[in-house]
Formats: sequence, structure tokens, C-alpha cells
Amino acid sequence: MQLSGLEKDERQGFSRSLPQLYRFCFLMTGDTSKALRAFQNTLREAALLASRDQLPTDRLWSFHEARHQCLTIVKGDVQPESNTMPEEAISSDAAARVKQLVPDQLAAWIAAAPEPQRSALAFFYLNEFTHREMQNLLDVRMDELADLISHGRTQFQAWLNSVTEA
Amino acid sequence: MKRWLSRRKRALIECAPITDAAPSDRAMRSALETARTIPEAAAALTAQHRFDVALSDLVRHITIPREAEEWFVNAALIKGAKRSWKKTARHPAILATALAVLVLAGTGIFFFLEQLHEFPGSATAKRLLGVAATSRHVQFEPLNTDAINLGDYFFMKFQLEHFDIPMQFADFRARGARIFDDEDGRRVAQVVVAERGVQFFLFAADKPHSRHKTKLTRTVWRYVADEGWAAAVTEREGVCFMIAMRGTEAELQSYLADRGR
Repeated sequence: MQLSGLEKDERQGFSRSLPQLYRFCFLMTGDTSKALRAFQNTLREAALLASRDQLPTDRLWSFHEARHQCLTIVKGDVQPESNTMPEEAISSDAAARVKQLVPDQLAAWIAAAPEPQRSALAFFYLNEFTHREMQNLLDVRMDELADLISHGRTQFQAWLNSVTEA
Repeated sequence: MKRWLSRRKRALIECAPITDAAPSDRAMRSALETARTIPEAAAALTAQHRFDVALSDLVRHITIPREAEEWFVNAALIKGAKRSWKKTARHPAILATALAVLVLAGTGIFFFLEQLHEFPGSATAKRLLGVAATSRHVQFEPLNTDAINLGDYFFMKFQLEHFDIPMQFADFRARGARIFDDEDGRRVAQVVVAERGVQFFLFAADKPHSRHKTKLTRTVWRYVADEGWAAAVTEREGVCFMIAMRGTEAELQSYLADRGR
């Protein structure tokens, strides 16, 4: 059966976003097995909806669903307290310090952040969405989104200073 | 950085895209351009950008486990369903909007049709039908003249200009006339004629409307009916002439048709 160009684009679009979808799950949970579970649950839900012709073509849907799955999976875990972490201004050597990290450390740090900051940072550093899409995904105002990301940066910098060498 | 920028732009800068490509969002482009013109803000923006790029690179290096990659093949078969127009049309929001538009259109058409039946002086004409039904002979100044003379009579006695009876009723015998002020304070002339159950009224027209202007060559009658009386009104030179007759609108139409022959 020949697929039309549009159908091909849609299918490719969905499958193209899957690596990013997994990375998002990993950032949200900080754990490979949990990330895998959330990722698989999301795809199962997508397949179920697709079988009923109810799967939205909106690419944000899968990330929205993945966020929901991640939050459900980590619900039983110890939840982080709302922001009391120290903050430090971004230093000029921050990029060099980040290079000393491995992805698991970043994921562990983001996964330990309170909601909705955890989701905001995960969406932002996926480098996949515009600020309007992030507002839509997180259901927050522009100033709230900016606040979540801004504090995330300075808190991460403070943590970075404590775990890396200049 | 942020003290040099407006609150809105500061918020946008915090969410500045990590890629170097120009953002498609105009507000974001404007905020970035403004920040780049202020040295302190530009320096802070560069530091923020380097920081974000480094973290984004780290995210890109998250390895995808083999178990997840196995799903990629099957997931290629999952595709979103486009809503058909039938499904979209059945959406409650669309249905509610369509219903509201229908109601509005219906109301608009109703008022438009109502308006079609209205004409300048129609409200006065309806009120005067009530007057015609309750008038007594003693209320009139007795006259015994042809209706054609009434124009001069009203002008000479009451200074009412153009209160002329149309030529097709010129031979009617006027038995009485009176002048009174209606609810709007306009002067109205009422004439009883020898023919039983027929009365004439003359009154200044409402704001003249181009659509209802009467051509000199042809008399346009507009009808109203109320309280067992029917009336036909025509306008000429800013004065409405109304013939009121006991009966129905159809009877009056037939009567006027006979008179016109």
C-alpha cells in the first residue's frame, strides 16, 4: 500500500520524536527503568488511541502524555520540597564545568526538582519546543515559565559549583 | 541583565531558544534584539546561552536503551487520526456556535421582515385606527363640502400646508372635520365623510425614507389593520393621507382598487 506524502510525514514525525520522548522521560524520572516504563506506557496509550482513530496529530500530545506517565510513576517516590535550594549567578566557566558531568547526573538533578520546575527544565533542555508550546504543555503563564527556568539555572549553577572543579 | 529590559522582555529572554537560528516568534526576536543592544544585557545573555547550550548538549548525549529503540520500529505504524469534517461538526462547541448563529440569523430575518412591513407613519396610523373606532359625530365641526376643498379649509383655518385629499377621493362629501394633537404632539386632521364607515386622516409623516417616497405618477398604499378597522396610508409632500374603513385589509384593498378604476 502506498502512503501519501502527508501520511508519511505524520508517521515519520511521530517516530522522529521518539528519542526525544525517551530523553524527556529520563530527565523526568532520573532512572532508566522508570523512564522506559513511562515511555512504553505513552506508546501503548498512543497505539490504543490510534486503533480507535482518536490519536491527535498534535505532536505535543505524546509529550503531554509522557509527562503524565512520568508523574504517575514517580508519585510514590520521595517528593522534593519546594524550592529551598541555594542559587548562584551563572559563571563564565559554567559550560566547562557542565562538560565534566555525565547525562545521568543532569537527569538526577532535574528529576529531584519539584514540580512544575522539573517538567519545565526537562522540556526546555530538550531544545524541542518554543516558549509558547512549553506554556501550553505546562499550563503556566509566561512569567511563571520564565521564573521556573531562571531559578532552575541559578540553582543548577550552585550545585554545579559544589560538584565540579573550576 | 534584566533591569534594563521590560518585565515582558525579561521573561522572554529567560526562555530564549537554545539554537542559534532566529526564533519564529516576533516578540522573542524583539526581546533578543533589544537585549543585544545593551552591553550588560548582551553579556549576560551570552553567558546564559553558553550555559543552556552546554546543558542541551548533555541532554542530547542521553543514550537510548535498546529496549526503547525496539519500540521505534512499531511506533512508526502509529499515526494520529485527522478529524473528519463530520466529526468536527458534531463537536459540542461547534454545535453550540452553529445554533447561536442560527438564532441570531433568525432574529435578524424576523426583524428585517418586520421592518419591511413598517413605513414612516405606520405607528401613528395604527393609533389613529383606535381614534376612528371611538370618534363621535359631535366631536367634529360640521361641514358639507366636497373633499377636494378640504386642503384649502385646513390651510385657511389651521395653517396646515399640503393637507390635501388625493384626487381619487375628491368627490367624497365631507360631513365634518376636526384637528387634534396626537400623543407625539403632531397635529392630525380627521374627516368624516358621507359614506358610512369611512374616515380620512391627514398628518405629518415621520422622517421621510427614500425607500417609501411616493412617486407623483403612482400612489403607493401601505396598509395597517387593527380593532376591526383597516387603513391605507400614502405619503405626499411630507403629509400622510390615510383612509380608514371598517372591515378587513382585503376589503379595503378591493375598495381602493374599485376607486382607482
